[in-house]
Amino acid sequence: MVQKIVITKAGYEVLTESDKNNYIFHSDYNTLKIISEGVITAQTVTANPTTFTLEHGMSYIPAVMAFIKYPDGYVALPRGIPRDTTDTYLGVANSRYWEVEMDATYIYFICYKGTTANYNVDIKFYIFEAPSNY
Amino acid sequence: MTQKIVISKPTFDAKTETDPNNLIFSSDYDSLKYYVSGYVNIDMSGAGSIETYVTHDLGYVPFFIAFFNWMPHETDYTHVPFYTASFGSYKTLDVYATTTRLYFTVKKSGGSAITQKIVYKIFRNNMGL
Repeated sequence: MVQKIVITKAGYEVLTESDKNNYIFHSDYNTLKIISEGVITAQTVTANPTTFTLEHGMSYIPAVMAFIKYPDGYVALPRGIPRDTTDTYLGVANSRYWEVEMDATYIYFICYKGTTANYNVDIKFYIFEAPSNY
Repeated sequence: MTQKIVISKPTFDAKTETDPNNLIFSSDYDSLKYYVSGYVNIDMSGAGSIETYVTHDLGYVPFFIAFFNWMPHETDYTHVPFYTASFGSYKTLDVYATTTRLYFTVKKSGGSAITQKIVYKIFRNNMGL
C-alpha cells in the first residue's frame, strides 16, 4: 500500500477528498519552494535603462518573481508603471517602468525612467525552486 | 542536530537528498501561503481611467498576482500589468499593493463600453517593502 501524507482544509474528509484545491498539503504534489528571497533598497534609476544586477548563486536559471516599490509608495509587478502616471498613451510610453530577466548567473532588474526625473526604488525578489530544464 | 520535515519524490531518499527539485516538501524552504483570492469588475463606458481596490488589511505589503481576461466574453486570462497600443489608441491594466489595499486600474483611449474582470490572489507572505 502506498503511504501518503495528506492534510485537508477544515470541513473536508482527508481519506476521501479528491479535489486538489481542498488540500492544505498532499505528498503526491510538489510544492513551490522559496529557495531565496531578499530586498534591494534605495536604488537610483538614472538612465534608460538602469540595470541592477544580482548574483543568484544557483547552478541553473531560476524561476524569479519580483516587485518594485516606486517613489509614490505603491508596489508594482514587472512591467508595471507607477500608479501616478498620466493616463495618456504618451504618458504611458514615456513613463517609468521595469522588467526582470535572469540567466544562469544573474538576475537583472532593468528600470526605465522614460522622460521623467531620476528616482529611487526598492525591489523585493523571490527565487523559486525550478526544474533546470531550459 | 537540526530537525526537519522532508518528503522526497519517489526513488529519492528523504534523509540524504539535497536538491529541492527532488523534494515534495522540505521545512528548510518557505512557501507561498494563500490569504485570499477573488475578482473585481471594472465598468468602462469609453475612454478614461478607472480605479478600484480591495482591502486586505494585513498591515504589510503582501505577495500578490493578478490576471485579466482579454474580453468579457472570452475565457482565457493573461497577467496584469498589461499594455497594448496601436496607432495612438491604447489600453492598460495595472495592479498595485499597499499595506492595506490592492488597487486595480484600467485606462483606455476609447472604444466600446466594457466590463473588465480582474482576478487576484493575495498571499500572506510579507514582502517587507
